[in-house]
Amino acid sequence: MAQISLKKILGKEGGQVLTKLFIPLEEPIGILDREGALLMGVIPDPAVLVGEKRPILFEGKPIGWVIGIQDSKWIPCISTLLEYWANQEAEKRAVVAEALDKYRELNLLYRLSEKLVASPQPSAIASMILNEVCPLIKVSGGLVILEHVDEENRELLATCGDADGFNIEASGPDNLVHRVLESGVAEIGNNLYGRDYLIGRSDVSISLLCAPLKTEKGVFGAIILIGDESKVFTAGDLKLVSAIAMQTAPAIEIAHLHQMELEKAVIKRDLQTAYQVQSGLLPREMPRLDGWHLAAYWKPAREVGGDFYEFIPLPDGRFAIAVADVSDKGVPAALVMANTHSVLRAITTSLNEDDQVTPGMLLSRVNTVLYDSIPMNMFITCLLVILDLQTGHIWFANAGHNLPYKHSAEGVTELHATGVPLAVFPDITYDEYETSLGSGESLLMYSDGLVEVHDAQGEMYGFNRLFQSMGNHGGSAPLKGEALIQYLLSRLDEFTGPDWEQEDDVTIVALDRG
Amino acid sequence: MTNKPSRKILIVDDEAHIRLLIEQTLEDLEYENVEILTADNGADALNTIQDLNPELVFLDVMMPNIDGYTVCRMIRRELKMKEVYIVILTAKGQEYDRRLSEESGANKFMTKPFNPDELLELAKKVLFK
Repeated sequence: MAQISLKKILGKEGGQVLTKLFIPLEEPIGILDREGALLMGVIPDPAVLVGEKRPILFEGKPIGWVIGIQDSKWIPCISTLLEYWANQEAEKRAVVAEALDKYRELNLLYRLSEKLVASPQPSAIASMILNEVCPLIKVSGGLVILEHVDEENRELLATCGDADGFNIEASGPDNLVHRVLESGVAEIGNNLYGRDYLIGRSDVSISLLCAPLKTEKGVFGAIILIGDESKVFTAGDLKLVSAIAMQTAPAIEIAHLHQMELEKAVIKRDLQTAYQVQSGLLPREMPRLDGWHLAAYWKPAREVGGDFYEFIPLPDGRFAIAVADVSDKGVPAALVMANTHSVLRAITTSLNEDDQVTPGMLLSRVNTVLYDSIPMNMFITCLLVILDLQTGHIWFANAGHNLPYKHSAEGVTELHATGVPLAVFPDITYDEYETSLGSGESLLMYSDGLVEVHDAQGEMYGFNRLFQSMGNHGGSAPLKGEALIQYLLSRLDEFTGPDWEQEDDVTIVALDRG
Repeated sequence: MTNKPSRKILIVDDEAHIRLLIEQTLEDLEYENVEILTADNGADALNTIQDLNPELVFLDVMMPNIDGYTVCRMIRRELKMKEVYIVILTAKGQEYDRRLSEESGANKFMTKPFNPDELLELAKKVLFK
């Protein structure tokens, strides 16, 4: 309750009324403040007259005194009049205080509107709301939280004052915040158990006001105000905070979406750079090999992928070809791809002319290094082919990769070769296989992205269709190199239809002997 | 009690409830030896300013007989009081009104409904700078 000052009452119209009243009384009357200082009138001389002093009460306590002669009939009248004025003054002050609060609220809403325009960050908007609202409603702390329905967690967007230890993840039908997030209806709860809301605070009681942040799509967060045990939230507080929540929710949501778009743009730019880096790991151009022709195709399913191919001239004059596929897709696969590529490169470039290089030996060495550096749940399939450019003899070993196809005058044959993928077990040895390519014959190596493709009905393209495509293209001469790759991809397109989204990384390497 | 001479604020508005709102907003300053004076018309305001020399005046615009802009101009030109800090406090909020306020010699232009906290802060700044 506002402090009532007798001096103020007498300083206004009250003083003028009493001055006029005192004139015809013809007896000494004085009005004293609470401490006994004379405010108006006179104090009867105690040497001449027996005095009487009567308190002027406001809410049961004296705010001053009326003093005069004993048994004066005017003392009780004037005292009662001043008590009436004091009550009137208190009522007036309460009305003015309420009007000033409305002024503050109106100005708060206006300021929020102004600031919302200039706040692109959701956390900045949330902080601004709390910084404006908490002092106005006189709370000890406040929070703005976001609820991520798909991630089943809540995010603390901003706090003010003493909000440490507030358990934003608490739920259940008895939890006020949970109820508001579920129902979308603002609530107040006075004198609640602190242990239900504050971590490590079992002995306190608190008051809460929670208003939902919602748009037409639903509730996506809440403004929570915390009061100590003396705080009693009112319906007026609830209406004000609800209005602010309604006003600011669209801005927070838009800012949140904007921020996510910005983050996506940054990620997209990073991935574009990663794509450039990754594609830079692949051979820049096809090697020119006398009597041989190489063609290759590489396309990750996302911005980056786990497939790669590599051509490596060996010190003994032979030529190695590797086609590899990392389990998984996207960035994790790309990192493992880069690692595998580096290991393969490092091992092959450290070879000497005297080394007895075989594909199985190379895969074993690569496996030993990768086993210690690749996450447990990831592995790499790899087909490694070593070609004698003079004789056309081929040695190959397979670490769990798709089997290559040989195309000769007899038709298409699948070259059988098995082995454990890289980085699954340590100290693996790989069986080695041999074949040869004569003039006009070719070898096709590819990753599973070329066969594990599904049409709109969910049917898989599969090895049989690839096998048939290789042997039956409708032309008179067998397709080779780039033409073969384009033909295989066009058959894939026909199978999947125009709206197909690439499911897996695709790598194709075609080796032809002239 | 302090012995320093009191500082004075004059509230000029023909509407009693506005005077009450401003008085109650500023009442904490009375503990700082600040005296709050009121006037409900331009002529009384000019007399009070001349007699009591307040440091700060909150001045309404739309008042009968003499409007706030005229009072402000007279304080500056007739009374030649350059030091008194004058705040035009008006329900009119157009850019035109803001310009009139500046031209009349006011130090600040504020609109109603005013922000009580901002009003009190301004008063403290002006009186205790």
